Amino acid sequence: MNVRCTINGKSVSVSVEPGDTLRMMLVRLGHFSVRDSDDGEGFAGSDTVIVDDRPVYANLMLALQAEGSVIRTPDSLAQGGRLSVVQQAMIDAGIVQSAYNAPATALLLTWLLEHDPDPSRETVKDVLSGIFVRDTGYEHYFLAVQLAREYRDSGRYASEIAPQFRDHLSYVGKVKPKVDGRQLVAGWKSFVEDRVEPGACTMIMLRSPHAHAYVTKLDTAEAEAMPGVIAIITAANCPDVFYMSAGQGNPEPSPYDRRLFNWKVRHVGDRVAAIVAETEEQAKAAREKIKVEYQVLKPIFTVEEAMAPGAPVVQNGVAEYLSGAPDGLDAYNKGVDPREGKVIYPFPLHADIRRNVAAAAHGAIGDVAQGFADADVVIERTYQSSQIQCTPLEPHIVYTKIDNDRLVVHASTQVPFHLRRIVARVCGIDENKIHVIKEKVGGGYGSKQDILVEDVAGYATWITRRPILYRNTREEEFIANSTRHPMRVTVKMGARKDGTLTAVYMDVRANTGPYGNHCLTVPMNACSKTLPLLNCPNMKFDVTTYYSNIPPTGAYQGYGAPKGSYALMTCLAEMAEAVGVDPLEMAKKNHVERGFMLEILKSLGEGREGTVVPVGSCGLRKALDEGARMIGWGKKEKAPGNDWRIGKGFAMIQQGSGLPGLDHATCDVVLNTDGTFMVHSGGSDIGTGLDTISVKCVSEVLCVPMEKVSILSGDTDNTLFDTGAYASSGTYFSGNATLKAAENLKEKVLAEAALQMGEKVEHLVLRAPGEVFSNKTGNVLSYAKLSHDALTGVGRGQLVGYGSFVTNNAAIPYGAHFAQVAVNVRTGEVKVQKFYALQDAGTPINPELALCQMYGAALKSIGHSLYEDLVLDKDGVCLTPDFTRYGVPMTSELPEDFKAVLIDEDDEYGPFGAKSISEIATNGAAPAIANAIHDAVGVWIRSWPFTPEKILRQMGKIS
Amino acid sequence: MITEFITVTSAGQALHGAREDSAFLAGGTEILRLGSSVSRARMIDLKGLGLDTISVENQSVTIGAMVTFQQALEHDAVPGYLKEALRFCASRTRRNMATIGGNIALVRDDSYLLPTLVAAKARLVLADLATDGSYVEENIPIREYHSFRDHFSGSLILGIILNKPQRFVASSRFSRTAQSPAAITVSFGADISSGEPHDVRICAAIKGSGVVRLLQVEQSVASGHYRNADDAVALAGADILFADDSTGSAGYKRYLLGTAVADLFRCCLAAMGKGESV
Repeated sequence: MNVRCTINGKSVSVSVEPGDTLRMMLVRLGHFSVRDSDDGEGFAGSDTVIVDDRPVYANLMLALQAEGSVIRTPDSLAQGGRLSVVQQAMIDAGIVQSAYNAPATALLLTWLLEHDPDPSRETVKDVLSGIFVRDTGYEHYFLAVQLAREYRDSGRYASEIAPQFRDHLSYVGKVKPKVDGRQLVAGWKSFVEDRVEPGACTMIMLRSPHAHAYVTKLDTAEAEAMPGVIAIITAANCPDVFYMSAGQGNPEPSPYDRRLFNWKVRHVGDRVAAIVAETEEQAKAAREKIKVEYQVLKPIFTVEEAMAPGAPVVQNGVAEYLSGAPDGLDAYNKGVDPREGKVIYPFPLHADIRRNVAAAAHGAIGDVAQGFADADVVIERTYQSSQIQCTPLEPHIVYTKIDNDRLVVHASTQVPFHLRRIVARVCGIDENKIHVIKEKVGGGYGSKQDILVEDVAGYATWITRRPILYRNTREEEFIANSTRHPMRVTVKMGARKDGTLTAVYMDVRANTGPYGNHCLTVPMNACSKTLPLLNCPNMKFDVTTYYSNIPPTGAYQGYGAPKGSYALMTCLAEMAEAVGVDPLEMAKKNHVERGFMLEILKSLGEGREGTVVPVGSCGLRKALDEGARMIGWGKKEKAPGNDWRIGKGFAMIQQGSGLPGLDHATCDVVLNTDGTFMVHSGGSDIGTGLDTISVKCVSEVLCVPMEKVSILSGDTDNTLFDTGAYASSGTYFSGNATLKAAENLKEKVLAEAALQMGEKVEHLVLRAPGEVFSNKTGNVLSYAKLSHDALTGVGRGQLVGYGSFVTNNAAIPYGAHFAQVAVNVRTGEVKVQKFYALQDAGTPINPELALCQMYGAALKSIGHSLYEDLVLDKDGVCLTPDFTRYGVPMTSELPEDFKAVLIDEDDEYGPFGAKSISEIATNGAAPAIANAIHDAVGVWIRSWPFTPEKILRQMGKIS
Repeated sequence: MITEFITVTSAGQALHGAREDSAFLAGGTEILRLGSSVSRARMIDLKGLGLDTISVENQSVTIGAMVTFQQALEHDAVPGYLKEALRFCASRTRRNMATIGGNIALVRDDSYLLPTLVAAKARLVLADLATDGSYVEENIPIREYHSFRDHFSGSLILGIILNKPQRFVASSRFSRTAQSPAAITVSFGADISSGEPHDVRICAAIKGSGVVRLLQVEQSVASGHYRNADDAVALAGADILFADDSTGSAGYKRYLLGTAVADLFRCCLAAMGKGESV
């Protein structure tokens, strides 16, 4: 059938099938910026287009319904290379970050301003209600609209975008357009799906319907014979290689307990077979013909079930150790069912897989028993966190192909170099045979630190030599991706009557699900990113992680810190109530300050001994004081109605900046022949502006405008090694490597200039807009001439700066989050009236991006605290496998008054004084809101999400 | 999988084109969405029927079945209580697509509109084919459509009629986020022209239980049995089987229903000058 319509001003006639959606038609016509984040749920808005002057979801319209319609797509906005006012305003406001649906949002806001030139905040909020934003938290979208209005009306911006820092610097600490903002907002080719070539095969997965079962029969013969089928990979024909999915420092503090496919499935959604075919339809048809029989085993879903004597064992294979094997291992492995596979530990993690213990850790400082004995009050409370999904707008996706007899992996990843290493292990090939290209990442949040799709796609391409596209469905994102570990954290706390803490004990029991990726480090973070906030001399922790049959867990922004923070900070507030001290005064009495030696870190290394360092730059007290002033701490507010009560709460927070002693970043900066610069950074910009940080570092050191510096990053063939974007390492590690490379190049430029100019180095300086100047003679040498002459037949070669950064110094970001909530005592509803995120990020190199990340992470954690929940039924089937049922926050859930504040601190170790910014912002909402709810209605909510039902139950309204 | 797409220019043509494997396609937000409860091969597109208008005549407002939520929200003649229910669909983009008729026809257990329309005593204009195949239209109370859903399963909704003067109608929806499925959506309607509530309609969409009328509570309110609003709590939902699901436990839903009915009743009393508004 044919559709005749007008698309972006051009009349077209297109042949379509009756079931084709409008989006399918538009993408086929080249409008690939009409993207898909929800498989047609009509929720996330990446597929928004304008049809007959109204915004609609292109996935929810059949192409044939568009007959006679006038359609606008996001790619209509930029004319040639020139962005529209709205697109530019979005970049300038800092909201173009992971940007998977930024083009759709630009279209929507353009449509809004065409119909309502001066919209109210409520109108903007309403129009954006159909767009899901996970990374930047909506707040600066209002600013973007304001900026666009100002520019439209006067040709310039009047509003302040963000505070600026460090007057002596030109680029660092200043609002400057993100270097990849143009391509992202315009919807130009950026993401993995944009790299897929015609003729690529499709891979889909057959997944387990059971939470715990042996595969007893697997027959793929009929499926393999079907038209278009290229390969079917199962436990029967995959490499007998055990590995783990976490992209962590090597050797990893996690067990190798995965095989591409196993004879035992360990969660609903576990892989059973991969089907590679020439088309998706052929792959789906073949999947229907695979015959599988299961021997169903009893599943376990909770820490309590996993701990119980006689509990079913999830990982009951052969235990092996690459180093430090314990005594008695042969006896331990006796009689193991071969279908269970193996669990290989790179080094001992205090595991006992026969009791479902994947890893454990213990540590202490001082004398905890004496500390409790010295206390006037001792309390012990247990806090429970549930399973939370990262929900990146771009699902996990990979495109693999063979080029030059090597495996090429176009990946949406946070860890290209770890990815290469793990895929090499799975495929049984050397790393030089693999080229990983990190494309733009449409949202990672930790989930793309795990190698969840590249392993199987890479292997499939390696054995078939065919180009293959694999993309998770949204449901697969929920059931077969990495999620936040559910945790049960018990805190025992002792204090004197004046509020001084005498002892703190944390017992963390984490649920890692079927596999052990990150199983030690995430739970340890519940302690390592919380206990060092306290100056208490006696502290102890025990961490134990259990296997179970829930969907897989892994890294998620904040790692274990949000859960530990929820427990420790809420317990601190409970202790304040118990001893009758104001919670803010109690916090001030017990927090660390600059110079305090963090002895607790010694026992909080990631599988090895940690390094004791003093507290460096620390804006914690400033954040507490300023936050308290902003929210009117101690002042009772008027409730909005008879049934509502108002409460206030806060939490102290910290994170890290990478992993000192473990992380490593390298970079080179090349002086081009025309005097411009090319940066090759191993770092992985996942939308957060790391590339912009690198470019700013080079511009600052070499005194050139940012447009004279280009960057290539996260490409294993063309950039140097970097451990990747996780643990808040980007700015600190990758940024410092770039800074060192720029400084190294500066030295080389000066040395070369001295030779070319016949002057001494000490008389030369670099100056804008890119030249060497002699203080002695007044002579000038442009970078272009310098580079040209260095590369002539008699020159000394191209100038390249090299930077490698490792450190034992910590650059710890601190902060405080404050919340004011209204709680309805009849319905249990909670409204977040005010949320203030105050953070010390050292020097915010990209202040506008930093603010947006704070909003994004804070709203995300408000979502975790109040709404989001991955719910399983009794058999382990996920009941919330889409955005709507899972419950992510949208514009309707925005706090009425939402502010992010950068506390000015200059760090001695970060590049230009910078520290990390984003992960820490996930740590405050749960304890701040829990404490505010208690302040409002007098009950402590000790499990998230804080649903109305739980509140009513605690209040005794329902049993 | 959709294999056929039919365009029609009259309701009769649409009805004659209907088969077991077909569905009337209105806004598409339900039928075409991921996980839809409707899976049919043959789509009959209603776009060409001209059912996208709102008209005011004497004492009534007629809203065409293909009027979108957003279109209705922007129209002056649409009563405020219906606009309140239309806003329960919290996504503006979805409101641009979802139609009044489509939402009624689905009778979802988290329906945005059905409880409010029942409480408002809306009437539906339906098109159907008689046994001899001739085209007929009828105008029925929406409660009848709701009560005898199977009987009307092949009917085509042409529009709804809301009579003036307006009744007191108010609704509440309880969901975790504005866009999450509602545990409960409940609406309370009554004629308050005499100074006492009569002709009471209370209807709730309850996740896992369906769309139900609270007949006993309606009678108790209308008969003046309740001395104050909270008296309604005990009876609300007494005869309903509630289910545990991801929106909440059965006990939570039962509690919410009672509380919400009491609050809406209180609003009704306040509207009559008999008590405080909530």
